[in-house]
Amino acid sequence: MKAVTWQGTRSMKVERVPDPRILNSGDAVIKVTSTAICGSDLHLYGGFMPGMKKGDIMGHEFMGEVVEVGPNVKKLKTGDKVVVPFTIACGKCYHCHKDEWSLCDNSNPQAPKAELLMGGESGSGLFGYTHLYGGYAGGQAEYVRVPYADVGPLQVPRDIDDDKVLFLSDIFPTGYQAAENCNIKRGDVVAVWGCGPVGLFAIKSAYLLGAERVIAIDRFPERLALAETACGAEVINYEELDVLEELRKRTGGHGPDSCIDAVGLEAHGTGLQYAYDKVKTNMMMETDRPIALRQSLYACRKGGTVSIPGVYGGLLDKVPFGAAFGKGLTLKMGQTHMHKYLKPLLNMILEDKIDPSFIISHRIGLDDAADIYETWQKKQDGVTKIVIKN
Amino acid sequence: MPNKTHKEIIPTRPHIADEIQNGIRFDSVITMMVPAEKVYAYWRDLKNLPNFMKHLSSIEITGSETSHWKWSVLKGQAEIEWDSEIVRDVPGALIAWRSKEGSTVAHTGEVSFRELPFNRGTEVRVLVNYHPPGGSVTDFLERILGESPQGELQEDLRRLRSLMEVGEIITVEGQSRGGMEETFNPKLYSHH
Ligand SMILES: NC(=O)c1ccc[n+]([C@@H]2O[C@H](COP(=O)([O-])OP(=O)(O)OC[C@H]3O[C@@H](n4cnc5c(N)ncnc54)[C@H](O)[C@@H]3O)[C@@H](O)[C@H]2O)c1
Ligand SMILES: [Zn+2]
Ligand SMILES: [Zn+2]
Repeated sequence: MKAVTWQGTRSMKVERVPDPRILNSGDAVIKVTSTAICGSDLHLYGGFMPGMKKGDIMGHEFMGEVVEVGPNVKKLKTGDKVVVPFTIACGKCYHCHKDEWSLCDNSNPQAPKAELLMGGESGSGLFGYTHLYGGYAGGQAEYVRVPYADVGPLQVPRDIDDDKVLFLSDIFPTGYQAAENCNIKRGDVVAVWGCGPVGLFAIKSAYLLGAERVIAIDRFPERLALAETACGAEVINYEELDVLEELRKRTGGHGPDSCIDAVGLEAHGTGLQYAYDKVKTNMMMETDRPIALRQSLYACRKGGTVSIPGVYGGLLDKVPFGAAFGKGLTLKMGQTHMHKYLKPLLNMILEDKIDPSFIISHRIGLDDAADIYETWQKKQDGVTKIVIKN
Repeated sequence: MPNKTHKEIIPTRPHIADEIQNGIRFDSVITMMVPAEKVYAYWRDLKNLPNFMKHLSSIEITGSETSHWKWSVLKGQAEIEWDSEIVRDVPGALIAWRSKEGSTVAHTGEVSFRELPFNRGTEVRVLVNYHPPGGSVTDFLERILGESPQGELQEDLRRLRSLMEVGEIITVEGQSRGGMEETFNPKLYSHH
């Protein structure tokens, strides 16, 4: 089959590799019909996340048709149309029982690697997301092996358009959990850093959960436009306005009730701080550039919540923890507990409360997937979300 | 698992035989969401041990309390063997064993199972004491026990947890990746 493989920092390739097979009795093999490239993939492309090996198959957002099931698969059948959540979970452990699916105890076969970094037990395995998260082959391919097939894959109606349900594999639940973590109450103002797919779904979700106003921050006009027109947010272009000052002014001097960092470790910035982080990450003295995180901690109202769906991988510098402490903030973060959101969010789509396909800007074939990473990273060509069609 | 109060569950303090005080000691602990009886029964059926002990290449049951162990060492380059006997057996709670006299690697070991209150699963605690035969301790550690005996013990327990909770240990060995020659899985094409 064909697959997108990681060759090194800023180097991807589409190549022919062996077809996947059943490796555990609860596995299924899925014929991928649609798959997407995620902001998280950019951290691998840019070499920011440790634990990649040459030849790793990329991709954690995918859906398709079940073509083979292992001997212990009871529910899923060949021919079923499914969306696969990007976190891999066993369904039986302490954390799965607690609905904390992205913290599953059993799904990371390379857990000791992660434990060195975490200083504790490893989180769940993830598709196509470094050997720290298990080293599973991902779904930017024609076929993919899916473990615990009765636990993860969500069956969707055969006649529904892939584009409407594909983002149940990650970014819609991720934006939703980010908003849910804010514990939104009526009248609340929520600020969202980053108007990429995760940020856009966080905005939509904040409104679904009862926010009064959402203020969105980015610098790309096409993304700010989507935030404004498709999601109903007020916007701030951080290259034109002072974000902290602007947020204070727009919230009667308090700051937003909750802040969502939907940017993560590769934040871009202006001025001295950005230069400082660039130098430090280049010299390996800091692994992440937490510019949006710093701002969200400074901006948040006393007693508010900072919710962090943006990914961080290592050590952060100059994070104003004193501000967080002084204002009594609540911090929430982590990979999304995907399995918890699949059915409720599918129902919202079926009830026409939301059509997630509004974020798609590019539809391409697998053969063009390697080259488009650069476009996506540089946010060229008006890119908001790329979907690969097989 | 029924909720038990703290009083009812008597923490089985690891029973430490006197002679193990001077050896090299490793211990590890893990918690799993199955009843203590289930883990005890699985462990007590000694032929299950190679399913999760990576270095145990085979075990032969030689009597109700005795068994013969073959342990792979030096990255699989060699094997050491010994006879082991169970010296204490408390169903559902504890198994303690020792190597029989004349073993290359004299050791004692103990595993205890303790069900936690409030549905927090069963704590499985393992303690092994090795008595290096002459020579330096570091030499013994490196040559016989491998690079990280503590880490390997933890890994064995993690595999046991997967077996107990899921019935299987997840793997990525044998999956496809770039740089390999393309092969075809006929099952993927047959149903159309
Ligand atoms: N927690 C999870 O489970 C999970 C799941 C998916 C993605 N993520 C993470 O969410 C983040 C966003 O993903 P995405 O797909 O939307 O990525 P993306 O790269 O498309 O979007 C990031 C956006 O942030 C903007 N940005 C950069 N610096 C900024 C700053 N200083 N202030 C405001 N905006 C800034 C960029 O212009 C861009 O539009 C990534 O870190 C990704 O890894 C997390
Ligand atoms: Zn993603
Ligand atoms: Zn689990």
